[in-house]
Amino acid sequence: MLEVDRLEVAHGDAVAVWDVSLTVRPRELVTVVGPNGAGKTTLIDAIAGLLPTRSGTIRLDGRDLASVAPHQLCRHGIALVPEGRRLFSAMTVEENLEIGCFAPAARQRRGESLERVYATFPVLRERRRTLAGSLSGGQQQMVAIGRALMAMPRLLLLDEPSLGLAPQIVDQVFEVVAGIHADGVAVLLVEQNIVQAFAIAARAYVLEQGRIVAEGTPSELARDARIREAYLGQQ
Amino acid sequence: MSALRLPAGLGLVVAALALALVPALKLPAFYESFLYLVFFWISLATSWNILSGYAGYFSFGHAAFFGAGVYTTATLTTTFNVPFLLSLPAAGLVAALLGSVIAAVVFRVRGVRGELFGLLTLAVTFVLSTIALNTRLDGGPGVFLAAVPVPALFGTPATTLYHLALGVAFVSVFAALAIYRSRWGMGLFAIRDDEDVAEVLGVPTYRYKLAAFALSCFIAGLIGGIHAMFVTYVTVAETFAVGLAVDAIMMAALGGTRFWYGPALGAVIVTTLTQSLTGGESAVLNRALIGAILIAVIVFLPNGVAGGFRRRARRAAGAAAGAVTTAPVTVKPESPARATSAPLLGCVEVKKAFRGLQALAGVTLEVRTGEILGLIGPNGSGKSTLINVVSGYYRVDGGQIVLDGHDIARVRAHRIAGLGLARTYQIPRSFRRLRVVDNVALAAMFGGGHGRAAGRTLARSWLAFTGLEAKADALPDELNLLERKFLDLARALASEPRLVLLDEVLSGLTPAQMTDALRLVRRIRDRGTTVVFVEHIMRAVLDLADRVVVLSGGQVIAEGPPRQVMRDPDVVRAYLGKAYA
Amino acid sequence: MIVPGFFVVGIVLEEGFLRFKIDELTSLIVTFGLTVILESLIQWIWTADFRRLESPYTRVSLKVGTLFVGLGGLLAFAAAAILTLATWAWLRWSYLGKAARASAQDGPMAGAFGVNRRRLALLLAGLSSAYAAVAGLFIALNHTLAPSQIYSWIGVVFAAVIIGRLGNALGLLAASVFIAASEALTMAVTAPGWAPLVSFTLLIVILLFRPEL
Repeated sequence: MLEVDRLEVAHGDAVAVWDVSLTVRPRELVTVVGPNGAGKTTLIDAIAGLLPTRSGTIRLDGRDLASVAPHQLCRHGIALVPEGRRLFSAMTVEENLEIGCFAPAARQRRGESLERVYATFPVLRERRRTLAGSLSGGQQQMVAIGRALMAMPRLLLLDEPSLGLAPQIVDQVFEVVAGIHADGVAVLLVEQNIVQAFAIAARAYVLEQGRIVAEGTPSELARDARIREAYLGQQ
Repeated sequence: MSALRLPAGLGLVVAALALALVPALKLPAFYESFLYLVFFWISLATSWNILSGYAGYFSFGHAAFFGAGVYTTATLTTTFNVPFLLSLPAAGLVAALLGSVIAAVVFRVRGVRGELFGLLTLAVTFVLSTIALNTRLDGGPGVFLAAVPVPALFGTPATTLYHLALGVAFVSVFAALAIYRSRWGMGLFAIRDDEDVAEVLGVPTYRYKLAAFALSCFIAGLIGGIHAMFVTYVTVAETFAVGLAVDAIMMAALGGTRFWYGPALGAVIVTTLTQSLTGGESAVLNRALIGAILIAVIVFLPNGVAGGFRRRARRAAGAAAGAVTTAPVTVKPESPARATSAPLLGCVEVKKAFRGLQALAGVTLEVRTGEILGLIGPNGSGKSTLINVVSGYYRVDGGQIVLDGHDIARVRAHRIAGLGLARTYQIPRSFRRLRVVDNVALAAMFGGGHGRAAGRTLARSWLAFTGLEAKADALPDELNLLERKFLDLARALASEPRLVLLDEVLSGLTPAQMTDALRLVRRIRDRGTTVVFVEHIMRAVLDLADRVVVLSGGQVIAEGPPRQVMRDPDVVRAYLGKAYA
Repeated sequence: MIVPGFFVVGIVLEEGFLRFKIDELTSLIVTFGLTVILESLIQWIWTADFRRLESPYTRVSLKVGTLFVGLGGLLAFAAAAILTLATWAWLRWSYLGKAARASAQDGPMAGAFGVNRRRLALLLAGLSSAYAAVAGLFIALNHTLAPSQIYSWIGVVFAAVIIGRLGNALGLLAASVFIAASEALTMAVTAPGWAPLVSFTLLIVILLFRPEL
């Protein structure tokens, strides 16, 4: 479904991601793990159209995304839950969700999408008129996920959802993600937190300094020395 | 380069003397009036440029200080019968005082820059004009000055005014030139490019801006006083006219705000065009033409006409560039410091929060003289915040920071630089419009306290140390990433710091470039500078660091030799979670 | 006809600024340059004389309680109130309005969810230009005009910009009323000439103490 082939992304001169290839099959939950600074956010931002790529291709269902304007990407079924949540904090919870389905096709199904999001996150229904900026970290994460769900994505991109959250909340968030996946949405999850990510993923890639250094199923990778090396250096 | 310097100043003096002799030629009065106008606009545009062009704080209130000068002279000569010539310095001083008071308040507020400063200065014009209109300064009908005697110094009273205006124009351009070539000017240009970085490098930004504004207002006041006598009848509406400020800005922008002669050039062009296009139906349209020319220039030549000249000159010079051989001035090798146990930097319970997020929750660590300390930790652990707080970019909320015996927790950034601390940025923040050598010289001058010439020489030797000597005269944008990082490093080292903080200096580099960078960092320590570096790339940390401190959640969770620390269960847990510990 | 015309002008200007990558300070200079050009053109076409727009409205006065209110002024106020309320409502409830607010806060994220930011920027530039045209219409209705008068309105315009940075449309209306009222009050209590002093001092204070707005 999603094919990334030999992608290279740079910030000005600084090459952050190079020669990265990965795939996500329909309804699959794939995770990319790696230490801080490995280029995970750069990778996801490039797939979501927020960053230009220097070389390589990104294909969704065979269609080259380079030809699609950034603001049109959500019409093709990709939605992003960005690092740090990036909510519109001066707007209410419901307004944030509504921006999620700004695209015409999604907008038509606004009513039922909203209902579904509130069913998944009941606490948001209570807080629908609260300003997003005044919510707790965990609640904000839920709004961010809900906002992405409103776009009715076939592929959900999640960038470090556990960042800055207390452990119990992190558990809840990952439960929700697993649930979304169970509903049939493909997920590409980028995470620093290996334990949680490996618990729900079917396949994993390890990113270190902009390159993929290992890939496989979580159980294959679990005790792989390369992961320890990537995070903690050679022992 | 210095061969050209003397002629410029000399040329100005010669030009001024030549112009002073013009009245002796007994030409038709038109010429004197025209030249008077030219001097008038040169004074206004150049004085505006001293703060606004050099430092980038666009003021729309120049008319306010001009008006202050006008009304000071008007009031002193009519109400108090002060001789005209004596009223002039008063006019300048009143305007300067006014400007200083306003600047003293406004420059303390960090957020008022750019267009906000412009709006504020505009509001000042309206406030002053209202005061003038409603008090005895003017009161409505204006002030008549025809009865005030003007001494005839070199002929007629009109000639006196001519010479006075010439004098002020000369002073303003000379001041612009002098500042342009001084430390002050370099500091102002750095402020325009990146004020926060300049402050951290040691430039006393507040003082420099204040002085520039005061001088700018002084000149505006002077020419205001003279103009009052020229027109002999002053009204509030004509004096505090926003159009005046706008015209001065347009002239400066047309000529080029980054050059000392730019505003003067613009003033000459516009005044000449205005005068030559009079007559007939097109008289009214000539202003439209000037406006159109201005827009065209601004859009296509952002640095004005003078900028256009400079670009051509550079291209010509670039084509003829030969090998630039600089006599290699070697950096005096200091005695390499042994890693002693005396702490150079100590942090005790340092706290910093941003809008509810506790970035640093009580950090206690020490940095020993002569060591290379690695500062690591997962995302969001507070590493960059710690560097920002220690270098003075942010204020701490609580705790102590002691550098070499001095408490720097609440000291302003530019003073911390003077105490021997320097830092680099994750994304290199060079002064984009200063040449490479000037970027480094700035640090030597302001952080290291050297003069301009010594600063430049030192800069070249530091560039040699980092391998950039061939690019000394280039602009930062012409360098690649590794070179810009090395420029950042050279700049940090030029102030001869005892401690240098490196913020993710290896990010974005290829493995080969990384080897070069690591080698350079070791040479820096071997010269006697203590190094603290923040890094994610673990292989590099293990390779380079003598000691490692691990931050997590805003606190120190481990410290010690690298390999030992990375096996510490707390550290493993922080990075990988419980399963791996 | 005038208002839609200025809507187009706004769009053209903004497109120009985007194409040539003109930053904010430079755009100030460019628009001042345009002002100079326009001032000349106006003077050339209509001469420098003072003119008055005569219309049946300008001579009518309504009696409200014991006060006489000029119809021209009343219309201006009504238009301002209606426009402000309409804008506030549009921003609050319409999808495009929400998109505008989201875009102002975090442009790239708004884009990620489908908001075409370039088109939005053009739309907003056109609207702001059209609103300015409306204000101009009412000025023409209620005051005498001359090319030299252009700069005397700059104070009001800049005041509007400073207050406009307050962001909240309703707060904006309140602030404008407050400032105008303080001016009128000053005029009634002391000499009329002092009024601008009060309003501009207020503006300076706002600028100094809430610059992040």
